[in-house]
Amino acid sequence: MHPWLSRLRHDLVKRAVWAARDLHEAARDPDAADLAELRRGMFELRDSEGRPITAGELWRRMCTDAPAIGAAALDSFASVLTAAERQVAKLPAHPDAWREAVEAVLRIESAFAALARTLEKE
Amino acid sequence: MPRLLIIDDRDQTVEMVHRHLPQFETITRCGRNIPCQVCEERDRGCTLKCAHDHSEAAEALSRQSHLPDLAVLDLHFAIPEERLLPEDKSQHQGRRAIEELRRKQGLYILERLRRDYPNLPVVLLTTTDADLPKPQGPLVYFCENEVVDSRTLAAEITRALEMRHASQEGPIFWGRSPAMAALRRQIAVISRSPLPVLFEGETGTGKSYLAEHVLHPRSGVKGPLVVTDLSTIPSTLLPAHLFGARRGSYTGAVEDQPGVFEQAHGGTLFLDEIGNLDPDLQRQLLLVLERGTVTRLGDVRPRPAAPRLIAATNQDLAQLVRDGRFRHDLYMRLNPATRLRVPALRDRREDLPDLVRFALLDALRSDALRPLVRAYLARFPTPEDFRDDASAVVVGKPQAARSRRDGFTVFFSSSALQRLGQHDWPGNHRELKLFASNSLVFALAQHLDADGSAGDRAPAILSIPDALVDQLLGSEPAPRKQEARAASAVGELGRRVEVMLKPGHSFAEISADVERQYLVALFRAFDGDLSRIARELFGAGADRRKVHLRMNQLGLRLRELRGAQG
Repeated sequence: MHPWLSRLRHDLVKRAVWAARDLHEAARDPDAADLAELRRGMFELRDSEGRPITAGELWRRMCTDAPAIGAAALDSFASVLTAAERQVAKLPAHPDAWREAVEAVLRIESAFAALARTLEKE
Repeated sequence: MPRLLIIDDRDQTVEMVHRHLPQFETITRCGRNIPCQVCEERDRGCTLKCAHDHSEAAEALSRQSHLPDLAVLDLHFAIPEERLLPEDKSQHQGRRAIEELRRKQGLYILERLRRDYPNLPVVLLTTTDADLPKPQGPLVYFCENEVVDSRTLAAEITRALEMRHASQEGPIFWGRSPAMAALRRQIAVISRSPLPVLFEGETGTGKSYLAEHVLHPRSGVKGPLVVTDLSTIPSTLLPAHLFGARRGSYTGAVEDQPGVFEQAHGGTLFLDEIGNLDPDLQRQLLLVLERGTVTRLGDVRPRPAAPRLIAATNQDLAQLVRDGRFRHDLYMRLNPATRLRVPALRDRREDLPDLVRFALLDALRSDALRPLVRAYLARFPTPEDFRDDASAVVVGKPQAARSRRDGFTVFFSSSALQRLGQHDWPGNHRELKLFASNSLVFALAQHLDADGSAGDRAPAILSIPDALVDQLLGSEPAPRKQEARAASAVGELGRRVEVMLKPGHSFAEISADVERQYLVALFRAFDGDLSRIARELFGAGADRRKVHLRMNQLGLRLRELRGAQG
């Protein structure tokens, strides 16, 4: 796997998706701590030097040193990420919308897989 | 509770383990059993954190009096360059090389852990990257999910712990009890000496198993292991069996026959139940041991017979000597100074949860239960990657979230486990094995007979009901808070169900026999009320005709049962 993708997965995808997968597979409604975990996965990440950063900021920073890859693929990932951020940001005010938020975050995983496939082809 | 050391540059893994996997305890650098993120000391300027790199992991390990059961190690460490391994980075110059070090830092840490703590098992949270070298080792496991979730991680940890236990000492689970630890130390010393060994312990404690699977393999002798249970051979045939016989020396001796002493020459002879030997044979045995030769019945030529002797008994040989029933000189030849006492199951209750888990997994994978397990799996859909060896036992309420995706998950309640802990286990491991087989047979049969179409619940999940545990243990069940009357009725179920698992007996017959006994017990407990039996077996609203039909299928006649009751 390309080092850039590996970094993206480590710094962003894994952190964001873990809590969503737990929630998706739990046979119960989430409590406040579950939702906080989901939120942290999107808004309390660390960059490669260990500094706090949100998923969106981290992605924008990573785009600056992205390998040669089509803009469409990057845009596609960015739109999925933005949608996930938007859904998770709604949670404090609308905790009932957790299913939509979980689904949105889980889509990051498939968007990442698509990005990896594109990079591999190119 | 298994103790884990989590080595990850981010706190997410330790946080998730703390929050979602209460069955594991995480160790920290400060020795407190909570991760930094939820520790009140965190905001008071505590400098001790969880292990985020190799040096912090080494510090955490150095603070522990015992190694943790497992280390969970991430692969990618996004940490500053100075904290990365190796310390000497002259071979890794430039941004790209440092990035590569970060990407594979887990492998460097793993190498260091293998060097410093060779007995520490490690689960590496790796990826399916083709370019990643996989270091091989007996205690290294890989969790290859691209993105981990708590359930997968728990399954991988459990699996690694089980494999570790399985590979610890051949097939023996030593556990944590002081008695077994002492026995293990003694065996480690004695196995290297040629001296005779005497095992003492109750029936079913695994004396012969230890002799065959631990002591003999470790002794390093090249000759064979010959096993003889002296309690199973008629006394008239014992002399020929032990010392051999020449053709024609007695009726039926149609050819020359070497005895077990001769067969085991240069190897190990295991004599089980040596306390059963009569005085005359004790004398002959003593002679063979002293001379290192044996003379077959009807022969005059002595033959070399100097095996290493391992003897076992479930009696107190010293007491037999005092009572004059065992020769003192033979007793001394058996090397009583180093006799090994194998503890009873009730003396190692701390190991019981693990032993129950292993017994259930063993039973689940056994040939005897395979047809029933297959029938169950055929009824409930399983994923394509289902594997027999991926099965797991989980203590707690049945939950899809806690089950394995690719294997069978048996759920066992903590209260049931507590009841097992209170049981005395007079039959020791033999009884435990039987309990495990029985409970699975019952539970599988109940599930198969229950109403419900395929796929109406999570597949490959099996729960052992508390009432079944009570019933199999032959003990009074724990009283229920609300249903005092029902509780007293269920209490009458306190009876043992016998299951004969032997070759030649078809599995359907065994299963039917178990069901038959269970239904008769219920019939008696509920005064023949089929509606109550139906509710007990199949839940509220279940039709009594279902029970009646099943009883008919099993050959149980209501009239006869009612007549017997009357």
